[in-house]
Amino acid sequence: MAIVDYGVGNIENVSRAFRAIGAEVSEVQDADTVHNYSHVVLPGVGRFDYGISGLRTSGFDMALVESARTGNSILGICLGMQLLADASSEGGSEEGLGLLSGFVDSFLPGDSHGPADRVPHSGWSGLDWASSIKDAKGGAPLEDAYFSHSYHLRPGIGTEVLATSQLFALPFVAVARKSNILGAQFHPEKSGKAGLVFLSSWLRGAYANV
Amino acid sequence: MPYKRLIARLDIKGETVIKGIQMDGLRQVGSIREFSRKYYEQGVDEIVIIDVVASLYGRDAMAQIIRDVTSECFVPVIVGGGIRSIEDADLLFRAGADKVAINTGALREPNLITKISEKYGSQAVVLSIQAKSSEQYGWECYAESGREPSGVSVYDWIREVESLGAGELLVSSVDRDGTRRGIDSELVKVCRAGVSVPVIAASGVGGEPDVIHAFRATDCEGVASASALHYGFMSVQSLRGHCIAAGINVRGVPN
Repeated sequence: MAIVDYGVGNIENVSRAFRAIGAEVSEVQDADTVHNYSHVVLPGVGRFDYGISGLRTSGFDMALVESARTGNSILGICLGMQLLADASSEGGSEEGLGLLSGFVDSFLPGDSHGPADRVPHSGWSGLDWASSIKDAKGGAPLEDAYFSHSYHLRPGIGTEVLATSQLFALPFVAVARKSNILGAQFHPEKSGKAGLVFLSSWLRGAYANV
Repeated sequence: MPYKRLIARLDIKGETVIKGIQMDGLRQVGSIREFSRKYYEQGVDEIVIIDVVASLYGRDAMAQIIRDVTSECFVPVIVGGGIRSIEDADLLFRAGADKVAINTGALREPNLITKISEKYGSQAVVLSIQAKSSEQYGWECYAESGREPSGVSVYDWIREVESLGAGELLVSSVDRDGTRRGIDSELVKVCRAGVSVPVIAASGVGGEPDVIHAFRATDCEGVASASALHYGFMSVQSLRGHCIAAGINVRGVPN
């Protein structure tokens, strides 16, 4: 498996989590080598516009699209998930990779702010899994997860929502899938042992759309 | 709304976890790896590591400690102690810190908070306040791990810190630290009323009832425990169980 190192944010914690579950991890800096890996992780923290320009500069944008086309499993984490989407309103209006249909948007100030709900959404929140996951063998991989974000995915046609969480008493997408592409808005590498279970399940193909 | 957080705080000197009383008379209690691993296994929500003698200890050695801890503990880690520049913060983030906590560096150079939050986002910047009650100020901010008065009133400081870019407050009481007499809820309430960012209450937890009381009295977003965990007066599991029984909105079965 490969972890895409495109010069934005700290990818080490993601690598450590995969190593802890026994995965053989390559931190890939050369976009031309992405096609060698059956499983590719796109991590990321920070702003969408910085992230997407990091992917374009390094050539990972094309490499990821090509890898997805050939059927490899791709997992985007946090900003990495958002970069897989069609576009985002963060930092103006930027196009994403278009692998996970949908639009990344802020939590609107008008979204009925409760007094205790704050953006950035940072901390542990509960997950509500789709029945296709809950009822599958092994059940839901984790009940709650660690989040740190200010934007979220509004899913488009063809994107399946596998789990939601809540902010401002409204559900938002926590895990989404489009065929071989999976996105997690939360940080599985910071969500305790169950977060590691989520990562190993993904490596085993548990979330593949068959 | 995120769950209320149960946090373990580890004050370290080198690789040794230490715990003093009122931030003085530091006693060694064990190794950082052993303790952080134990609290991770017990299902803690977050770990705070503060290098209390940062100026006496190498930055690179601190980075190695963070690498070691984050290779074994897959929960968010806040790291503080001796951060004086954006380069200090860079080193700790690169090593694996999810957030940095800043006290002295921010009191001396408030712009440091702004610089770090512009680069890493406000959610990654925890402003640490070490308050001591004072006739002149009500509460006064102390620098250098509670050793040096700063001449800055807590009331004045909290009015500034959020606009400077702090995304969270870690509120410690020099008077209560290590005493196991409970959180200073008046101090925490004053701080929480002054900001709209999450507040972690620290200093004084002696057992489960102190944590429950802190959540009830202040509605703070997290409570950090140190001595009570280090000396085995409670475990993270027993604390979580008590909080759930008391109706505190903490996450249930730890991951």
